[in-house]
Amino acid sequence: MGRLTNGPAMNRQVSVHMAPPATNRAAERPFAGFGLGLRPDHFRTIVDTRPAVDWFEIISENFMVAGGKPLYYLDRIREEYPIAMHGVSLSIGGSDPLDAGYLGALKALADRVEPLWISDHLCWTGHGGQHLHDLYPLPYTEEAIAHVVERVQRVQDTLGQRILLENVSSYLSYRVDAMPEWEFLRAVVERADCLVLLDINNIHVSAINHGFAPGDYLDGIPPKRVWQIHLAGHTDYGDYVIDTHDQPVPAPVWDLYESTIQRLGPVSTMIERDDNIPPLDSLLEELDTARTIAARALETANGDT
Amino acid sequence: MATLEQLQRDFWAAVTQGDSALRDHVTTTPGPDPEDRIAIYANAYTARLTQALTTDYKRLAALMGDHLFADLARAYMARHPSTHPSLRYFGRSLPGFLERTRPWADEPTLAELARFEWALVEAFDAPDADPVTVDAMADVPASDWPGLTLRFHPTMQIVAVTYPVVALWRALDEHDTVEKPDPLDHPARVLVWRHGLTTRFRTMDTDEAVGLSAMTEGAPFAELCEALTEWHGPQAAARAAILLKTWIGDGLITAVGGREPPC
Ligand SMILES: [Fe+2]
Repeated sequence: MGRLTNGPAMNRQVSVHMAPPATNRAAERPFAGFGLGLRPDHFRTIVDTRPAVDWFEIISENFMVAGGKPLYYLDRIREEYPIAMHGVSLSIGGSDPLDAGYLGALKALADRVEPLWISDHLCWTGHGGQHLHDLYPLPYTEEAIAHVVERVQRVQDTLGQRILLENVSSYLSYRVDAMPEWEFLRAVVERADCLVLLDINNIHVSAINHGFAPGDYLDGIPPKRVWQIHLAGHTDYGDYVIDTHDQPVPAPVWDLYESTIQRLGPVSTMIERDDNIPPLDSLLEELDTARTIAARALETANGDT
Repeated sequence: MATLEQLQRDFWAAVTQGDSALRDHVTTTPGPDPEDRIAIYANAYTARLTQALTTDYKRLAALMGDHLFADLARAYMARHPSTHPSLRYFGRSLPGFLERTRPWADEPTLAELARFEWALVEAFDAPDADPVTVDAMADVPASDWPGLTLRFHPTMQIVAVTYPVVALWRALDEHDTVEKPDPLDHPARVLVWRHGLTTRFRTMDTDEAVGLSAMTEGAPFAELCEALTEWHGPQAAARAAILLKTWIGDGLITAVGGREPPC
């Protein structure tokens, strides 16, 4: 396959107050520690108890509202914690035009939150002006790479910063696929000069659904571009697995997390629970498990070298 | 982009209409058949949008029962697919859909309950605004009272009902099954708003509903008094003062002004 340069990224205009500039590829991966997805069920408890969480991740769309509780608690919690923004509707791989209104709302929210970073998913989510509110797989083709790269660059220009793209779980693959998922991911993020949010559960789920080895995936991604990790649970339906994100992180995902950290070094990590939300305490326990496993992984990795 | 766009169109058609063209794009691999893999996405689509409606219309779903509500959700998503990046807005056309579409239109309770529940959804995250306090009224000279106009909180909504929707909503909160109610003797209006962070609502008496409607349209206080004479005769001014105090206490008023509505 042909190699493209990052040409367009080099001569775009970035005003001085925007940081970090999208062309700053030398930027080291920051380490924000261990975070949680911010869910409305926990707003009060977080404000009242100031739990030992290093940062929170919000679903951006949930805060694109005019007022009321969501923005009240967002501002209160932002006073105490760093916040990362995670979107679900960018549809970076969609064939509909990029939604300028949505991007404007995203930028406005980013101005309010001053997030650690902004992420969305490497997927498409709608067609013909309809939002389907799911994360659909892209075909792993040169055509799709070129399409996504061009759109990522425009999004990054609009936001004045690089974005992270997350690998999604998928349940089918296309006949036109010309490469494995990790090669597709790598090509997109390197050519667009963007970053990666690696969802370990999604790798596990897709590995089972498509019959690949998770280790091949980890070997195929560009390590320095992985700035964030999602940990979550899933539901096993026998001959396939669905990333329901409504269960505790299971043993195989913890194992895969450990080998990820061994390969990548410290990466900001969070538990992502989207449904069947448990009390905050039980998520804090899971987060402690993540801390323990990450520390162990780093020790082993250091011991190896 | 021909291939990518065609594939996404076929995928969209498979998920929203059960169309079979996507089948030819999908690889046959060990594990589930392509049809079953496509069905995972199609089922998830219906389930997710139904879930969004169930969240926003919890009492309507309880009144109808899971089965009939799922039928409604499928009909609604076919007619009013989501066109907003956030699922928060997906349900916005449901009250109108229920009013216009049989068989649901034959039972007006459904649309009215839906309209009330949607007003609660809207009040939840509508713009913030600081209400005035009773002290602010103390500064108004007596001569200015007749021309006094009010600005109301941006979360405030008035829902017209012909059934006891608020009582029904409360009953559905407390009981699993509820009898469908008889219509009210007279149409009523339900006031919905957010006070601080708390969403509130109450059914208004007719005189309050008429007076409040007039004031939201920019009528001065003198007109409120006049309107209230129908119910209160010589006591109309006293009633108007009580209503104003109630509205202020409820956090409904965000500004007071002169002949021109405050801005
Ligand atoms: Fe994720």
